[in-house]
Amino acid sequence: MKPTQTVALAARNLRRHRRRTIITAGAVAVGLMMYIAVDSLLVGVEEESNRNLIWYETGSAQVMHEDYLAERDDRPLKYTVDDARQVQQALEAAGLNATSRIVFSGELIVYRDPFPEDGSVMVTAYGIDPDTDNDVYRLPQTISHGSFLDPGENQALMGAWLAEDIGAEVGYPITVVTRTRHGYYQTIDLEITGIVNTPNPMINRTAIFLPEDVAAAYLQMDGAATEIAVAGRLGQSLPELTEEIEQQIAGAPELVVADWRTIAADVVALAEAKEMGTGIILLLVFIIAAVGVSNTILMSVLERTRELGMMRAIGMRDREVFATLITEAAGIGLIGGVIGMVLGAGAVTYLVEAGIDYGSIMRDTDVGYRVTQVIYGAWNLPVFGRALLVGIGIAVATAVFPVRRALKMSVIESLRNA
Amino acid sequence: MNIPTLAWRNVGRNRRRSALSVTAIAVATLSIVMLFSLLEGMKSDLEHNLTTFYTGDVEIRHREYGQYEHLNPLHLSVPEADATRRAIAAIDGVELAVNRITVPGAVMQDDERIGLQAMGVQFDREAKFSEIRQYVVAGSLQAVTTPGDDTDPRVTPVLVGNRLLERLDLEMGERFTMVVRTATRGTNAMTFRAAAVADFPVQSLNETTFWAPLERVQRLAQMPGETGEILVGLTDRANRDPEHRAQVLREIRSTVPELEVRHFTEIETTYGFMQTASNIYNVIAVFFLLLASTVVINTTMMVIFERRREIGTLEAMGMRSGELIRMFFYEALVLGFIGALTGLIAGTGLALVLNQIGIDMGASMDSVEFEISPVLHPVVNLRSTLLVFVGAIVVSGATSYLPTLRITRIEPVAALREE
Amino acid sequence: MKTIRMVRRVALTLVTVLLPTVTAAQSPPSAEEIIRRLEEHRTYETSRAEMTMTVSDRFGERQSTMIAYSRGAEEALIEFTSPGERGQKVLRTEDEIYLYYPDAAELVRLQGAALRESMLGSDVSYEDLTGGKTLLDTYDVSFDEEEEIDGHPTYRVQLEARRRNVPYPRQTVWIDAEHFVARRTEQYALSGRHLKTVSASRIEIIDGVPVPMQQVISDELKRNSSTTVRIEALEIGVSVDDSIFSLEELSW
Repeated sequence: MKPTQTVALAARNLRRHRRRTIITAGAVAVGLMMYIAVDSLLVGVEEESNRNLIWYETGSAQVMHEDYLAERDDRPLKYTVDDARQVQQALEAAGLNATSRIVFSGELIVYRDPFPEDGSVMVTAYGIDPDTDNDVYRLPQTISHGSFLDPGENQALMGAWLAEDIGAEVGYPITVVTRTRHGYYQTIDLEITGIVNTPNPMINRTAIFLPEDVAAAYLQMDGAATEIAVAGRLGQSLPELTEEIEQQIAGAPELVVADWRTIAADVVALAEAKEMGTGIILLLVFIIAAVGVSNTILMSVLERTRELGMMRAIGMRDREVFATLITEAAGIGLIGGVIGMVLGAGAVTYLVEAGIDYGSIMRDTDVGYRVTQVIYGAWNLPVFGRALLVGIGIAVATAVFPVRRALKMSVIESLRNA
Repeated sequence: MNIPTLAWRNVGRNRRRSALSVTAIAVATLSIVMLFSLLEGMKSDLEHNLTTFYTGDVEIRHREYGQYEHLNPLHLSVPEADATRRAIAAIDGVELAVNRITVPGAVMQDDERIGLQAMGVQFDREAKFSEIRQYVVAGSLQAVTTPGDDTDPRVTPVLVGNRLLERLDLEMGERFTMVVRTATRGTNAMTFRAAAVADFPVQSLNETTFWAPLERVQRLAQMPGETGEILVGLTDRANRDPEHRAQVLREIRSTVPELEVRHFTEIETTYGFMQTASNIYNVIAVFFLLLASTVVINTTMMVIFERRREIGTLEAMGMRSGELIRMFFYEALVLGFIGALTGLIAGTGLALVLNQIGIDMGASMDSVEFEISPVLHPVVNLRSTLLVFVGAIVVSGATSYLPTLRITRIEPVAALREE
Repeated sequence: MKTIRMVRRVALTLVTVLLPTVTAAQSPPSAEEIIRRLEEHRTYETSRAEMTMTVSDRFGERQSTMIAYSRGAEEALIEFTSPGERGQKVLRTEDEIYLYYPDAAELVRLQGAALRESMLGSDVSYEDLTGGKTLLDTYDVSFDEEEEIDGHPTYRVQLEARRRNVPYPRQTVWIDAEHFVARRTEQYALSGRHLKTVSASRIEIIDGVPVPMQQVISDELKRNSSTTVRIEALEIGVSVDDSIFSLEELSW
């Protein structure tokens, strides 16, 4: 019997026992889908802090002055990208989404009426370009009250926790006291146009946003910005992105490119370390899925001992019977695997786009205003391929043993079998 | 014929098939039990870290502190620290109480200002309260609590978080001078020597905090005899029994009516954090339950569909469909029970063993800013374990219903003809 | 060096003596002249002052006392004597500030942005203490008009910063027409927002130099924040040991 015949026979068997095929392949599919979904969720939870950085604080990578990175925590205006517009345009010409920001620290001062009481608090202020910021960051999506900034207007967005702490609402006036790029005292009067509730606690607790041109004028930036943030292309690795940006800024030796991992090195270590916990959970998922798959395959083979005897009785050689059954198992693994991948892709799409709003699942838990209540999944493409291989692998592996055993029985014996 | 007896006999008759079903259910149960205990371990770890290093079971502080927290109002303190602490510790239901002062400040290095915080603690009491000894990774507590070889009385030996030491670019044994705003709203500075290094299970502490003797920090912040807060550890009974706990809280409140007394579940930020973690775990658990149920459902369905001929035969012999359904249901229940019990015992056993030895999350956790310890200890939760046990049996039993019903609707002859 | 000091001393005395004549002349001196004389009165060859500083903020009032030594425009040492911070010292040399704390085994050197921090929670920053503050070097000055402050005739002078690295881009100073000390100073942010007001009162002539014995610095952005510095005793031209301004001696 030629391999094609074996495959044809196996395929016919699968078609003939449609119900069994469906249940068995279903087991494979559900197992793999769950594996993919749980993996996506875990990677998603793990990546959430990364995403919170990338979406709200760092972008994928930033162009900055070479001395800025080391002192970034102090938000100095001393080290800047002097011709921010030119750098941004060069990056945009290369097809990259880029936006400049002026980040500085200041003292936020508010007064009783409309605020509940006089007060002052240190904040980090982000001068953002309302037109391009959303190409890299995701602020507008997080506005819980009010609206986004307009260029040239003395408007501010405020982090939700900060707003809650000082009793701020949309329309309230605030004053930021800071120093200009060269050292003058400066005050900036702004009106709160929106409250942003981001999943990034740093932003929620200490940040205000204002239009970059306003910040630039008040701080005498003369066209300089503290950073140009760039959004990575889908599927582009960080080194590739960094290299691409580096080519664009080759003319300015004082500038460097720092990817978000470099910028937020300490936070990144978190994600790496959490992998262990994730690994344990995934292992458990894998065990259940594997048991589910192997169990159904095993059962489907065991229940067919009679059929095996029949095949041998009509003259098929053991090797051929073996090959046919293994091919069947592989076929089930393949069908289940493909369905699992499709279902998995669907589940991941849902998890990535909609996320799981556990706030609404668990109404009774009083989580309050302060925590994000949606966890999102993430695309982890390698796991799809791995899942398919694992599906087929387990199906085949679990079929081998019972088929061998059945073939060791005499034909009569197996025909008599239930 | 007695249906349960028949079902029981059927289970014994086809050992191989039964074994498969039982294995599926057992593994599903085992995994769920393991997962739950793992998640429970992570939850209780989080709770332990937050109550040990941030709030205690009960946190006592100045009433207005919270309102001005962002201004670090050290002057909003607890006066007569020791007398108050003793009074609290004497309350029935209070296991122990410690005084702590957290003072933020900075170390000036060249052009840089490195922010950090001094935590004034009573090391002898912390030995029991936070079991601080186990977190010391270099040097010893002895070196911190005894004056040692410092001839200069201005140098205080302290226990420094390992990441903070790195941020300060110092080696163990070296000194640093910290400038702070005092409780009297003046400034003060003190020199400290890194006599021991701690690897706290809470990474933000590792990054920013060093522990120093309470008296020295009182002097640094000019809070003689005062403390920033009193952290209270409740007895096991008070932690378990809500009524007793409420009673203890009432008593604490009446002992220090002028202070703010909060059980850690009343602290919005901390508790919200725990709730978030707990909710994420619940979502993961839901996925697991779905998956495990699928395995059980699949196996049960498979078993029944493969027995279509048998069902046809029984029907042909005159068994009514109601009886058939009941028989298969009993079978599934028996299999579910055996499987779930096996899984429960194995899973609980494994979890208990791992609870003792712990799962070492390894050195990779070193620089992590998340309140989960590097070594995880799964914790068996009796309620959820029993729930899983019952759940497995119910799922397995319920799943038997539909396929059996479908087959009994087919004419016996048709069922017999198939295969 | 010594001669220059002598010359300055003589000039200073001359000015003081001649002061009433100048005022009587009715035609106000040029803005530069006004500022020059203002600065002369701010800078002593040597001095020793006992001062009290009262800081009020939202949490109430607190008082500290100190002894301040100065030599020329650059060097100063402040030693705190109030219980809360007894023995703490601030040493200003030409462009650095060192802090000495009795509880610390090392000196703290302030540089860069750290200088912007407030001293003892007051409305005075260490930056305000740093040297090299000859106004004429850093500001373009222009005479505005004559005005009365608390019943005293003053010259109102506008200061516009010439460099971008000073804290205040614009200041308005009301200088006593008789004594050439600032009766009132308003400091503005680049936006034009009024940040701080320094009001001086109780002008006394000490060793021939008019000195405002009390200054109130109020933060115009924070309603309940102000700092009052009162000079309890001042000696000018006292002999001050060289070592007082030396780093080596700071910790003793």
